[in-house]
Amino acid sequence: MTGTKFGCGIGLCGACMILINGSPTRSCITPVSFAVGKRVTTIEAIGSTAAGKKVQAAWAALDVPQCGYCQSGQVMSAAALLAINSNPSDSDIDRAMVINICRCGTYPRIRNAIKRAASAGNKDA
Amino acid sequence: MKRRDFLKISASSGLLLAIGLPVRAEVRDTLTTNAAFAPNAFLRIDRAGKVTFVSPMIEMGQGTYTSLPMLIAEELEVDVDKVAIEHAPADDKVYVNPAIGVQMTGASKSIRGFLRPAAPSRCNGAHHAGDGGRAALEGRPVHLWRREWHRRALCERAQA
Repeated sequence: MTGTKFGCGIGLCGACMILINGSPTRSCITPVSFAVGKRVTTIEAIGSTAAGKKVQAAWAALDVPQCGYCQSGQVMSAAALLAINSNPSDSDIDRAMVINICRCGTYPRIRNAIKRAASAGNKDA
Repeated sequence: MKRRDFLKISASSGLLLAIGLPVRAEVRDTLTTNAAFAPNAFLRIDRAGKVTFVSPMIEMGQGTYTSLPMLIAEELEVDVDKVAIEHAPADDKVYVNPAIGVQMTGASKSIRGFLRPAAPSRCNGAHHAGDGGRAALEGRPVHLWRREWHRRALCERAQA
């Protein structure tokens, strides 16, 4: 699998984000033993979850990525946020997404895309 | 006379002058077909007004996909969100960074290279790429053509 990215390697940047039992987890500092018996989701499968699918659609619609390296991680954190909070405020988004950094500075589009994904979810409901 | 009035008069008399001049084939094609307007290798504007900037500089967190489209947006007077980016193919002649002399991203030369043609022998530059396109968005193709023509003439004269 090539979707999950190796960034800093010391748990700072969030490019390596995966979900373990639905919680965003930095895979670069997580031993395999921690994941035994738990449900692991990577960027390859996030599109098959309801929240992940909406996040990816919003990401594509708003052309969020720039160089793209951090974006696998951003999508994972955004999907994890929307799975537990279907209508996040700006501060909810800030709190959830602070664990992912982006050197290109795509933060405004990330925030807009999360809101777009949230409103797409609320329309379905 | 106010500057604005002067520009208006210049533009309208310019229209008359332009009729007598031979229209270059590429401009004529732009005016008569549904093809996107592409004044140079960096810029394309389709009939719906969608602006595409062909960026010769890579993006790996330096911010070139922010800064260079901002130059285009400023020249075209459109919102920067309306400028789509397409990555340029490898072409050392067309997409060379004039500040370095090769098509390479680095050395803090992306803005310096493409804000204005750095070397007098080059007439590209992102700022100039956007310059000719603004009138197309405003639906003034003849004026646009004249502007682009003047730009090239000035640039080429500067080379000589």
